[in-house]
Amino acid sequence: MENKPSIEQIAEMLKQLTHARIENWLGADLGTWRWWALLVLLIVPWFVWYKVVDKNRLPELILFGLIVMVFTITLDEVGYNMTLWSYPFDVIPIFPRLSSVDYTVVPIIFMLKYQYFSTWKSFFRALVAVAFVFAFVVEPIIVKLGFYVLIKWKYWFSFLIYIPMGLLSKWITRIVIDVMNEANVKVK
Amino acid sequence: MENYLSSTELVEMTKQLVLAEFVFWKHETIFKWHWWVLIVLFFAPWLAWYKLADKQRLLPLVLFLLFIMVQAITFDEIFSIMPLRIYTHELIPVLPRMTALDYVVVPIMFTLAYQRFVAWNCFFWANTAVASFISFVGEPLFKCLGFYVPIKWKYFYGFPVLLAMGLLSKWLVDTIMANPPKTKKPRP
Repeated sequence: MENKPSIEQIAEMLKQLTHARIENWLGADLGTWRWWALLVLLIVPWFVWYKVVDKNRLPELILFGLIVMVFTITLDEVGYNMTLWSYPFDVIPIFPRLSSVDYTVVPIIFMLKYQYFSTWKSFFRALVAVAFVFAFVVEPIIVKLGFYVLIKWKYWFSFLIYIPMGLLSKWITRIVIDVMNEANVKVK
Repeated sequence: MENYLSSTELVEMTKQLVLAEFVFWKHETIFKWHWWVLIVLFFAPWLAWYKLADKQRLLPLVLFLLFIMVQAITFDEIFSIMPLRIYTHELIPVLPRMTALDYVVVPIMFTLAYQRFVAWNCFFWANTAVASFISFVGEPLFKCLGFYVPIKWKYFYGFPVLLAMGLLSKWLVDTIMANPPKTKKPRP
């Protein structure tokens, strides 16, 4: 496999893979309870979030949530494409990731955690707790339910990724807000 | 017997595809001029943007930037996986899209328009100009330079998506930044 493939060959492989994914999705996925569960997980949490979110801090919370979202959609995709893990089911067949978790569940849980734990110390503790629950409770459960397959992955790798992801997102959020506040103070 | 491939077979196909992309990338892209162009496009615009950004409005600007980024990542991925077009040279081979454009160039261009044109009707035209520039100048240029190969792609496919991305993001950010609704009963 060290022979260099041409771009046409790569395009052909990609075409076949996407076609096979869609066939698999139509045959084994669409309309099953797992598909409905993922659809509900993609949409419903946003209504719950809207009820509980602190509207006075909305811009800051959404900023943090979007940074987390960019991380989850990127990292999930890298791992999926490197076949470290795999998702047999998805709401939409063509994304190489679990859309419901990356676009909704993880950003929302992280945003709520950010809202309720404002100091760095309490945030860090909450982050460790959430990472622990995700990595060692939620992930094994979704493996059992057949949503998620570990290929070259360990639960504690996930645990170790959630923590810097949360810290980095909070750090970026704080920088944006501090730079803005400083600029506004200077003007006054 | 099912007439579609199983998830395990899809994983195997993904592995083959990513390996082929990696071999191509190793021979044709890394440390070649295409790759250096992408490196510059990934880092340099941030420096320029940091000079130009209005620090007093940094929070809404970054929110807008992130909304564009999430949408650019998602749509570029849909187009590349279908595949309507295929990227020949990439910064890193595992992401099926143009990383430097989705994370940096496109969000920053839109954000500069958002910063400069506050009123809706000015923004509408600025947004149209940015979307046209990307679709009808940027894309043909990138095709000439050999960054991607169109499969079923027409330049005007991207245009309505880009237009909608800008308008939707401005609406979202302006809504989020508007004064929060007053709670009926002030808390004691």
